[in-house]
Amino acid sequence: MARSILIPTDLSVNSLKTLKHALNESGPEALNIMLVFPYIQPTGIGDLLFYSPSKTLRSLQSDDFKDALEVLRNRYENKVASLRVELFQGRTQRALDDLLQVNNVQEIHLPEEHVKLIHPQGFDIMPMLQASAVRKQVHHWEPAPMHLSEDRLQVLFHQ
Amino acid sequence: MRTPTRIILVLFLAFLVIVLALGSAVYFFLDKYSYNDLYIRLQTRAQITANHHFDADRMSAEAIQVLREKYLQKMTDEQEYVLVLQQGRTAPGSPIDGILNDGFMEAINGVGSAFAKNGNTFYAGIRYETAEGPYLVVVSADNYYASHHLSYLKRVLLVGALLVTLTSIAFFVYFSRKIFDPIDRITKRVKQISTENLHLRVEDSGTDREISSLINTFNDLLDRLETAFETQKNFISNASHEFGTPLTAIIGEAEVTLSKERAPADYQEALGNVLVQAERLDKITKSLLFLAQTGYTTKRINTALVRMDEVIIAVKAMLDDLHPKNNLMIDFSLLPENPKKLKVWGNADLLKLAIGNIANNACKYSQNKPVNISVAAGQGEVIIIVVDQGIGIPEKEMAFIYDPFYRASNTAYFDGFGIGLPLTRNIIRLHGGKLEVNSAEGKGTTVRVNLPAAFADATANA
Repeated sequence: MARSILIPTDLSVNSLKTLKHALNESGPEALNIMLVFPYIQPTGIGDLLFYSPSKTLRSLQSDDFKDALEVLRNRYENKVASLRVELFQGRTQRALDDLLQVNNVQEIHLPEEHVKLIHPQGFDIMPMLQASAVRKQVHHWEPAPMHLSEDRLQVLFHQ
Repeated sequence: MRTPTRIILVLFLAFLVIVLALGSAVYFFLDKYSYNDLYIRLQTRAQITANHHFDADRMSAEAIQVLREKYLQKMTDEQEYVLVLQQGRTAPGSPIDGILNDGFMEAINGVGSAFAKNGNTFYAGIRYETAEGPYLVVVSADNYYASHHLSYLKRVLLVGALLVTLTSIAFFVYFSRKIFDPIDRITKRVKQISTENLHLRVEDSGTDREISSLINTFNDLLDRLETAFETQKNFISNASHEFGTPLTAIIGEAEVTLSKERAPADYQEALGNVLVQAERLDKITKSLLFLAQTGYTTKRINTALVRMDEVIIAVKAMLDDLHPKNNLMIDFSLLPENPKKLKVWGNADLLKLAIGNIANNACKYSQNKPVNISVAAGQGEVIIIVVDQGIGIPEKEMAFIYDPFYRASNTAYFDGFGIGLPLTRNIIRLHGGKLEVNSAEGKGTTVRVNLPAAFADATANA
């Protein structure tokens, strides 16, 4: 039975380093991985009328982010039972707890506290994750220096 | 004749024929209709005339006359003739003898009605039976409609056709320019490109799919040409150096030995040295032959399945030979579990040359600071990333880095000819891949190579 883990992301390649470390440090057991992107939905009438979570996710993910996901999937082919990116639009602790429960999440993997992963269209989910009852595991990594050209795929290779 | 002119002419002629045919058809059918209409009207009038003329009931005859004058429009030059028929013929001397020919009379005696035309005057006749015997009633009138309306229609159609064709010429000229201008531009640009400036490319400006694919085809062709040229140039300088060194050694050895009388042992030693150099020459010749066989054949590069991690290991070995001080570190931490995903279709020697160039540059321009080379498998691609902490490329000069012999302004203290990167790019392009260089001056350069994987959908079990 695969273990389910949740990792917060801001859809940057940088944020996938948590995933890289989580995969690297986990045992031989397969993992169901859910990357959660905390998203603030625009409240314009057009945005509300034509809202589609899958389209939103697709348009927000950069090519480099998708490449990086694929690189990790290929690297840990036998360990990754499933890997998906989900939007999280709840703003309450209750909503997060429901998400964790419904998806039977057994572990939350986090970067260290000083690493801020906040997308312009997202919000900080860390305090809510910290407050949840699920077991947490913190991974140490440093954001890549800027000369690696912002948020490109090469960031993933940086230690 | 130039193609645009020919197209304009052909289109124009076709258009003219269509417009004229349409106009003629409209005119012809309207003309025919107007005659039929006129004959029927004349025939009706002949009937009314006969009724009025011969009706015994004078009251109703008068009523018909009143009705006729009141409601039936008088036709232009309307004339009525009532003639006695004797044995199917009229008595000679009537004012309309000219039209009462055999055909007319035959129709009158046969079907009871007939039509005739004399100039612009039209005649309709009917046979009317009375108690005293048969009569011929003829009504004639001028076809005002045909003579005035139809000629007006003819003018409108002709002027319309003229205007439409003139407009169409303007349209065709614009259209053919729109089609042929990009082709002219490509021709001009390609003419500018010669062996001196093979790095120039045709810019793809348009949204036009066909033109874009033509431009891409040209650019691909130029890529291949440029690679071939640069390889050849490199080859000549390398080859003359490689051949020159042993030959100089052989000549020097022989000259020194021959300069005076020597003991047999000295001769043996000299000949031994000559043999070593000659064997080296032989080896170079053989490897050249091998290069010629594996490299460019008559048309395209020889391809085989190449594992990119092996290429990187070979590059590392090559660099260790050439520059033992290099600090190239291979990072296989994100190597895919399935080695099939690292395979690409390509020429191993060319790929080694390309990746070797990138790694060599990274080591050279970072003064042997650590350089990371990583390989990973992405979405149907093999990704190679080389990160250095070298001098970087000034932002303003990024646009020129692929120009042959171009060297950035901060490279004065480094050896090089400015050929490596353009050659590398061409090799990557030959393999259908992508080369991307990101740099920050003084901080370092990142080079990313994406090559299409040989097995895009390789699964773990494959």
